[in-house]
Amino acid sequence: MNLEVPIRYPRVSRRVEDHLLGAPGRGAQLPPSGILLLKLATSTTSRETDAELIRRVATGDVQAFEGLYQRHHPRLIRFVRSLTKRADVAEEVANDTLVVAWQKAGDFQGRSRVSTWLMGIAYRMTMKQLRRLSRWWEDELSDEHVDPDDEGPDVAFARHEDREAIRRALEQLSPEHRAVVELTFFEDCSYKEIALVVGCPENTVKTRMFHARRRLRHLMAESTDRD
Amino acid sequence: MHHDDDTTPHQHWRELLPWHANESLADDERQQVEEHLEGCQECRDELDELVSLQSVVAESPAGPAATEEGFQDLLASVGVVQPTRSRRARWPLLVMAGQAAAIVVLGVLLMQSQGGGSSTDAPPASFRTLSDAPEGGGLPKDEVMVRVVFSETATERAIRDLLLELDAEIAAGPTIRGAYTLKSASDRDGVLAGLRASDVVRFAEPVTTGE
Repeated sequence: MNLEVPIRYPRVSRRVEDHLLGAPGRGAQLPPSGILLLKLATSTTSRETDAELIRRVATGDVQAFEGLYQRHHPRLIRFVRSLTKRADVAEEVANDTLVVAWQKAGDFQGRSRVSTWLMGIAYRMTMKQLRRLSRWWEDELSDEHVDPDDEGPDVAFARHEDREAIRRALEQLSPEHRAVVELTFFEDCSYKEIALVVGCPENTVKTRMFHARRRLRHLMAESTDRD
Repeated sequence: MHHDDDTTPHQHWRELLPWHANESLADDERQQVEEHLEGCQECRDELDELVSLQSVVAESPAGPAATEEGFQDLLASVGVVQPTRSRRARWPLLVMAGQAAAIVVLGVLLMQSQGGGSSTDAPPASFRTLSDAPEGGGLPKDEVMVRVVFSETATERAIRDLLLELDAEIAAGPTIRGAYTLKSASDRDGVLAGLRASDVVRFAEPVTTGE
């Protein structure tokens, strides 16, 4: 049976929200009222941690796999869709990621969060797909050399009042930059976790974020000039 | 504090601001970033920017909700189950009903040890369930899961007819031991009785969990 319990809190990180909600499919957003309806499901899989589910999946437990699917499929689709802008690719990659999870669950060592492991699989598949689809943003990859003085145009996007402009600029980021932004601000990953997901050194994660933000400033400046 | 030689302390802490904003820094790093923020207006402004960016990203739409149909397709693609013959959307019903469809955990050996193993026995209190059983002590009616082993000589046609008759579908299997998991929206005892009475079924038992 489900119980719905309204609670109010000032701000809660997504990681805490995951914990409260049993890591659901990102459907929940904090409403302006600040009141969140907590759905307390009593089914076994919704109470289990990801690590417990993956252990059961490793034994071929279909029910646990269903729990993993319900919990992570929407997140994977959202993540891949943000990088590719393609709903069909997102669906395919999310499914393929869970197929790998089913097949390789026994290899999961528990050294990272299950979500990090899954995102890493999805990221690699996505990049492979993008290469196949010839949508490769070569010009955005040279981010290992950062000039800290190069701030880009003097447009601070936080002070930019048009949130829609931020959204439009985000849509134009390269997959590599968008991945770092999404993993940081939607998945609440640490930079160490992002390094695991995208398979690069931690410093590269930091410089990719730096470049992503610089690129956002450029895009928003262009947008402002056009307006 | 660790930062590259060619990176100034300011630049080093500044690079960590996104992860200060999402509260994922380790305690020592968070503390050091906060100390830096106290004396650096530029980084405080930047943190404000990051919080704005964070809120825009966080409010973007979630992925589409998972569906039973999608899961069945996924199972088919990993070779666990054939695509289902009927695609009834049960998850929404289950969710709306508060996931009331309790799946009774009952091992055959336990059944037998409880005296005769009658399929009409109410489950003992020691049985674990996936969710709370409906009030009133009735058996779950919304969905039952049963594990079966078909006779080696059973034809596909005979199995299909039996499943159609019982309104059951294959949810998983075969396992390496040849067992299938069936799902049915029909009465559990009726499904079990129907399976056990059939020539094509060697063995039928309610699904247990935590195996």
